[in-house]
Amino acid sequence: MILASLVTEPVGVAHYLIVGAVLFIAGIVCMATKRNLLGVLMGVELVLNGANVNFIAIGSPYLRGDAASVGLDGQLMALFVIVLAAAEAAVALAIALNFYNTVHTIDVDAADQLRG
Amino acid sequence: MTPERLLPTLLLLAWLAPLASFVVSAIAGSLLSRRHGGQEGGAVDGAAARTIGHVATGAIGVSLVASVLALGAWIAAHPATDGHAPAATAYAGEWFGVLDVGPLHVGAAYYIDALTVVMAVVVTLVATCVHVYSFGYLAEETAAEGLEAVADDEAPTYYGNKLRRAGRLHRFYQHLSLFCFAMLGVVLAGNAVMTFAFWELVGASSYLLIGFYYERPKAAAAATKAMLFNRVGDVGMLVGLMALWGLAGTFDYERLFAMAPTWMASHYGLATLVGAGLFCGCIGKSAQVPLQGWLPDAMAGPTPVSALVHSATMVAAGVFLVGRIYPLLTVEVLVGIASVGAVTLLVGATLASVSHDLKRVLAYSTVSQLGYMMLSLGLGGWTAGLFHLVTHAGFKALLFLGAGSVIHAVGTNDLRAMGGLRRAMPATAGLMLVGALALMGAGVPVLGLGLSGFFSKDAIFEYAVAFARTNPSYAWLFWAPLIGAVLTAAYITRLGLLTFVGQARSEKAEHAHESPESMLVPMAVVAAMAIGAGWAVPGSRLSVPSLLAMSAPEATHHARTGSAWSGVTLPGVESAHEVDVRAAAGWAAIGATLVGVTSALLMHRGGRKCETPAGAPMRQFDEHWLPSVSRGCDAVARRLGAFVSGPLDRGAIDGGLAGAAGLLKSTGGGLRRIQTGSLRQYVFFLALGVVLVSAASLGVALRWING
Repeated sequence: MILASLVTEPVGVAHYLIVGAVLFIAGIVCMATKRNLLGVLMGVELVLNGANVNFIAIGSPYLRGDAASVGLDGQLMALFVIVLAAAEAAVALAIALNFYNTVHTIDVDAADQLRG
Repeated sequence: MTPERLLPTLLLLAWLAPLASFVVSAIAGSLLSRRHGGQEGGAVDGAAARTIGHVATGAIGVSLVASVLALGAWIAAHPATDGHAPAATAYAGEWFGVLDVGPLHVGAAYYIDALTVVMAVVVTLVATCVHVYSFGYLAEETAAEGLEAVADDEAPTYYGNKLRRAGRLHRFYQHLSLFCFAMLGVVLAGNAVMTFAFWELVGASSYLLIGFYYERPKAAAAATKAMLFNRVGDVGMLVGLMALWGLAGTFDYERLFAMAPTWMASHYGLATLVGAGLFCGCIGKSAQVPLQGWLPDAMAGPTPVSALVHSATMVAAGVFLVGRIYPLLTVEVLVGIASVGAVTLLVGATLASVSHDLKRVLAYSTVSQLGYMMLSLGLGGWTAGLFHLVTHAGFKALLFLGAGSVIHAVGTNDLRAMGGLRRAMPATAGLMLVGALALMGAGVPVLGLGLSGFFSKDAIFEYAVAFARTNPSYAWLFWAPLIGAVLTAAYITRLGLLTFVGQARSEKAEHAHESPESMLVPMAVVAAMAIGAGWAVPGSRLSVPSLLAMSAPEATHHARTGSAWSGVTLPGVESAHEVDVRAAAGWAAIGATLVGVTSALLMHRGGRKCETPAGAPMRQFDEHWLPSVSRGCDAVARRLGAFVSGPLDRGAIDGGLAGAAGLLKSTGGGLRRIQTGSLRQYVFFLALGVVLVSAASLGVALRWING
């Protein structure tokens, strides 16, 4: 019933949230299944962007229907996440490079030196 | 200066001089040996070693002079009175404090009475003689390493040849100084803790001196044995000290003696335990039955040590302590002391009669004489017992020094390898004859003339007779010393016959020669003591017993009855001094001596026959059966030790700890497996966590909306 109403109703916050959830799940699955370190990094980006979509949707005055407000909290939060993601990507790529230099592969399953 | 300031000062000087000598010789010896041999225990130059010996001798000489001056000061302050002196005077006080823990105060305290002063003179006099004598006896110990090193026949080496080592005369004098310091500490001690501390120090220095020839297995074993036997007695002494603390709350002798009558009336049982415990320490130190076994073995040490430590002074410390703590002893304890002494004097005299070893005979003789002293103290003869301690110190030191002179000349302890030595060594033979006569108590009862042992032994017999009269059921305490006196005369006659009379029975005995003057002069000094220690100063009543009697405890002045349980009455001074008692005692003593001498002359046919009747089985008893008692104790201790270290320590305690550690280890090993190191698995757990947290928060939100 809920899904049916989504199809008929105009695009609103709920639609964005569903897109965000799909992105998040896709990212998680990607992280959990990819053996390639770069693929895992892409999964991380998807998870972060799923969260960004949610911030934008919930923080948007147009989607909430009170156009008079100029609340920018959601947008600012999204910008922060993007900056952090950029930084995280830089660090992660550096780790990936060093990892490759050490074990000559970027298969994450080869990184099990901390096994108990 | 008044005596209460003069006496402690003089005796402090006498006490600390040997300590100073010990410290100096310890430092100098270690510096010299390091320079010489490059390592600890290396050789010390012979001249330097002699210098250290001279320092030690000088220190003990200072002690002797100070002690004699103290004796003079005492006599000046306490003129000899007619018969029984007034109540004992004693100067008690403290040089410096050491420890304050709650109610316990311990310090270097002194308790100076006539006994202290006389003992100090005896100890320092014999010690000085022994210091001088040792220069001659241990002359070869000045040898350096190399060709002229000391050759020790009795110490085994890996290659089976003679051990050759550097001399260690400096060590000998160092240990001797330590011993003198410790012994004077026991004599002067003003509280029981100080007595106990120096008691142990005396034992430690005795250990060092017995083990002087530590390369010889016999000497090392004897030193250990002496230490262990004394430990057994000291356990009892510790129990006594604890009971004393519980009873009195102080260790100070002066206060203890003052309050003793009070708690003897209120806590008789505990007071008996105190006395019995403290006497256990005296059993160990004075080699009483059943802890007599260490003293004959201690003869493995150098003979001067046997003369000073193991006959004249250290073993007498047990007797001295009984005399010191006499006011604390109940009648039951005293009768126990007398019984132990009676058994000891019989055992010692019997075994002295059969041994073929010159020093062993004298060692058992010492055991037996210590038994006499204990017997006398136990029967209430305080003055008599301690008087005998003084005279015995003189004549037994003389006998040992004479034995050392003989051994020095013949090179063996075996009586069977001696004989006829009076021709080669007339001076030694004459001096030993004096010692032997003093030991057997030779004298003329009617004229009151005799050697020192005559007077002291007579005094002991007076108490034995008086005690047996008051307590007919304890008559054996009179017969035991009487039989002991026969045996004493017999064994010392045998010793003299086999050593000096007859024909030489070995090549070495034929070529023996007299010892140097440095050995004979000290012997002459102790011989003078052995002759005259019992005499009064001409023209006055001053004598050793009259001096000692000034400090006799109050309790000895009159008869004392024990509890109803034992029903014993100890005779007082006056009943022992009755005319008929004195006459009976005198004739009994001299009669027993004559019987002993005659029977020994007949049995050994003027020195031509070594064996005593029943000698072989008795020696078997001495050398095999008596040690088997301690071997049995050793086996029990080993079993107990094996149980404690095996099932108890390794099994229960170690096992429990190892079990707890193993449990932790296996738990950790199990938990370790979930740390797989696989990144994707961690992400899976992450996602699982997200789902669980989301589901939980959704559930909470729904309930909130619905509720």
